[in-house]
Amino acid sequence: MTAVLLLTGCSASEGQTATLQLPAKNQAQWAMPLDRYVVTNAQLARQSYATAILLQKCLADKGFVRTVPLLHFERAQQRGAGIINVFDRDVASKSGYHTPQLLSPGDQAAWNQYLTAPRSDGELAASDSCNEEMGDTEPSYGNQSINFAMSFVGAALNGARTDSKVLEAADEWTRCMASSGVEDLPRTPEGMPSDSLRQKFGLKEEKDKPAGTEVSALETHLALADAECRETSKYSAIRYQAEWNRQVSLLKENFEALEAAGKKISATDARISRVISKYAPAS
Amino acid sequence: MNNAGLTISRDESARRSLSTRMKMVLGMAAVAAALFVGIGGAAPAHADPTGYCIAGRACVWDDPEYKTQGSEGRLLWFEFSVTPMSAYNYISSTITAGDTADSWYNNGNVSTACFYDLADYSGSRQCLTKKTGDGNIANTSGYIQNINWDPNSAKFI
Repeated sequence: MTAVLLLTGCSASEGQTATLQLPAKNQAQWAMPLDRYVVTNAQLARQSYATAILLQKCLADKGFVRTVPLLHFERAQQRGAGIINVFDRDVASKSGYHTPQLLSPGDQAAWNQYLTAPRSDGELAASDSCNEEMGDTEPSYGNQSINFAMSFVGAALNGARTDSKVLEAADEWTRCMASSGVEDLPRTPEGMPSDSLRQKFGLKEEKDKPAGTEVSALETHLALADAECRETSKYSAIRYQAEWNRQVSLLKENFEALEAAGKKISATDARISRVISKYAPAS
Repeated sequence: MNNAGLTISRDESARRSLSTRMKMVLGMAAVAAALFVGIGGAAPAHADPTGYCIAGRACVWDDPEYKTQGSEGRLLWFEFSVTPMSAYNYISSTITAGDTADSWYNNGNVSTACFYDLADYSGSRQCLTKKTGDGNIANTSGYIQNINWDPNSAKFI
């Protein structure tokens, strides 16, 4: 279900009138008014995959074998794999503070190996040549489309974080978490997990080395307590509303430009899907 | 990178209080909207950072023009991810890369590199597709415009 506001805009690309539609509120999914204009991590990952596939074809024509692994993007549809990292009781109980990943561990390892495999100077020169040759035929959202709506999302996010009602709810969350025993409890839930917890739960990363994936019972227990405090303090609900309100304002103010960006994103989605379905390696 | 006119110097930027910067955000977002409508996708091309930021990596520098203290070689690079950037200095310098990087370049071969306001890939996000960069994220030209934060984490996606 969507809410329709009486605001229309004339699409710059096609001259058609568009109507501003708000998605149904859904705190569990952290659904937001600007979502449909944002290029998500999942979309970016598919773009990279399509590029790699096309590059592989071009390199083969130049005598270089660079095999792209088969990737499965089913996980990209799950919660928490999109624009922000959703954190609630459900996520906490399943993965603690660990962030859900777009790819399975096996696919991720294969992709990392592809990215970092040694390349000769000849192959790099051929890759540069391929990039030039592919040009506009390579499906890409482009930097402007990728970053445009995210500028507004960031503005709404920062505004909501410093909203007085949100900060009051954060105080309530702090009281709720007082008995948790976290020695460096942050001022707001956004600072969780704290440094000491990151250390304890194997979440500290080194450059180019991702965090461990094991979720301990202690981590799950604390993450659940945290999620419950965010709920009982109403922090999550108040923050969701604060972010929502800001996004509605920004959507109204920039509707035409966002619609134009959204159309470009949809067209690129289709082109990326065509490349993957046509050229992706067989299983 | 053209730094004329609206460019904010590092010293000036550093003097700005956080609250002042926050107030700028919505106004700048509106400017971004105007810019998007007129953008034709022209790539900014001035300094070439690929001599030091080798293929397969993304790199950041403290200052505009892909430099730190006047040197292109003083950079922080990654090939998968880095968080928090505040745990690292630019090569051959004592300057932390956390919340200081004003020039970004993605010399990856296929993937988009994304840069985040906060550690652990959270907060505001801005990205660069392969083989693109911006020699001054705070000014009004290039792929990244009017950003009033410097990143504390980044990764390829």
